[in-house]
Amino acid sequence: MNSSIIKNGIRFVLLVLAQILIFKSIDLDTNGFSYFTIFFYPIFILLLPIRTPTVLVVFLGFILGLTVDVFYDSLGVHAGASVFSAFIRSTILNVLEPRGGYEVNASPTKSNYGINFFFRYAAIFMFFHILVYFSLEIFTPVYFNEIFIRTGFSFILSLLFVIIFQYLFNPKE
Amino acid sequence: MRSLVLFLVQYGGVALFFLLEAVCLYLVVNYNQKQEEIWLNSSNIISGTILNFRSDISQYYNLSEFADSLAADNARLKARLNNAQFVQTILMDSIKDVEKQQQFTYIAARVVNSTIHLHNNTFTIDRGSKHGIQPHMGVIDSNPGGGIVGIVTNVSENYSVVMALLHQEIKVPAALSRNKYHGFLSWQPSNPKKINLIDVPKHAEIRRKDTVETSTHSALFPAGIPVGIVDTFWQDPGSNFHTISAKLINDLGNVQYVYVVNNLMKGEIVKLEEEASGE
Repeated sequence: MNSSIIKNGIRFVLLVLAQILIFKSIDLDTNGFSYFTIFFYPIFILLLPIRTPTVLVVFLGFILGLTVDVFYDSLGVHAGASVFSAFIRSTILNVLEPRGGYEVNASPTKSNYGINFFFRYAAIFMFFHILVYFSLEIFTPVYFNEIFIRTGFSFILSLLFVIIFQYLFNPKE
Repeated sequence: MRSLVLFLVQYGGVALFFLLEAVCLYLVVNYNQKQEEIWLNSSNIISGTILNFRSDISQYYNLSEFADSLAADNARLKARLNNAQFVQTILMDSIKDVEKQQQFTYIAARVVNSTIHLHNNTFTIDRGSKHGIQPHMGVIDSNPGGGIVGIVTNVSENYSVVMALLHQEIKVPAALSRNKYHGFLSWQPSNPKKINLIDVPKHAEIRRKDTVETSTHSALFPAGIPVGIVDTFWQDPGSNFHTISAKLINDLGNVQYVYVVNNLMKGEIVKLEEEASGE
């Protein structure tokens, strides 16, 4: 249990650093209009142990989003998206629950439940995270199209990096 | 304590989710310039909607002008009704030649002042000589059920004073609608909802709930406008006439619109009758 907290703590720091040092600078910025943002930090919420209470997941999501916001200078936007995706995480997990159920203290990773499971899980999770992010970022239904175009681009690229992360580190928990 | 923790684990997620989303929204709107502007603009759209709503209401107040124009329309239409026409039907051999001539026209007016609790009540209306009103014109209620209001007595350029039905000097010919027995409408200062029909012949058969209407004997009002409903009737000792107490069809306390009746043939009638009495 303790090792899980330490591991997740380290992951938190490293993911935020990766996000703000690497992915923030590769936003494709054309004429001040970025078509996509790569979301890497949600991996932290994605990989929390399955049995983590929703209260804790939502709270950690808030802290994570707020930390990223401080560096993106967009207070509340990443946090709002993270709180939302953290909240629906348990629902996604329930829907995708394999026939045998989840093991105690397991994390929803590729190595535990296979790439098939992980891909679907990450796709649903990331889609909602990014959709809420751009809804808050653009903040008006007037630019409905823009919300969807940017969500689409960002979704594909972010999901790619989330999957690559699984293949690179193949974490068990 | 354990159950409290369990409760929080089970439902705290939802509560915390809404709380934190609210916090995020607050942060987004307060610390991000673009979103703040959009937020304020959206608020303007909402307040704009409210202002629109307000102007809708003020349009409602302009409704009185609208009602004026409708009343004028009504007056025009009323003049085309059958009882406003003088029928010039001539029977010649078996050829029936129906010819109608305009007898009554109406001028719509609004009541600007009125009394009903005095002994001699009057109405003031916002039409005068400029609009074709002359003294001794009848005034009827715009109430669809009927009812008359009184007779014009004084006329200025823009206003006229109407001697109300509730006036001791009023004397308007009226009849029972069922058997056409004639009498005169007269008012005793007692009840603004009742009027007397006096000088009804002794042999007339009267029933309660009979309708009293304007008669053909009146040059001021078109015939057949309901005025009241018979309530009680009696015969004064030594008199050859019935007196009927009738309940007024219209409430003179809340009359808003009236029509002033212009009888195009009144001059002819008056002149003829003067000639006849002068002989």
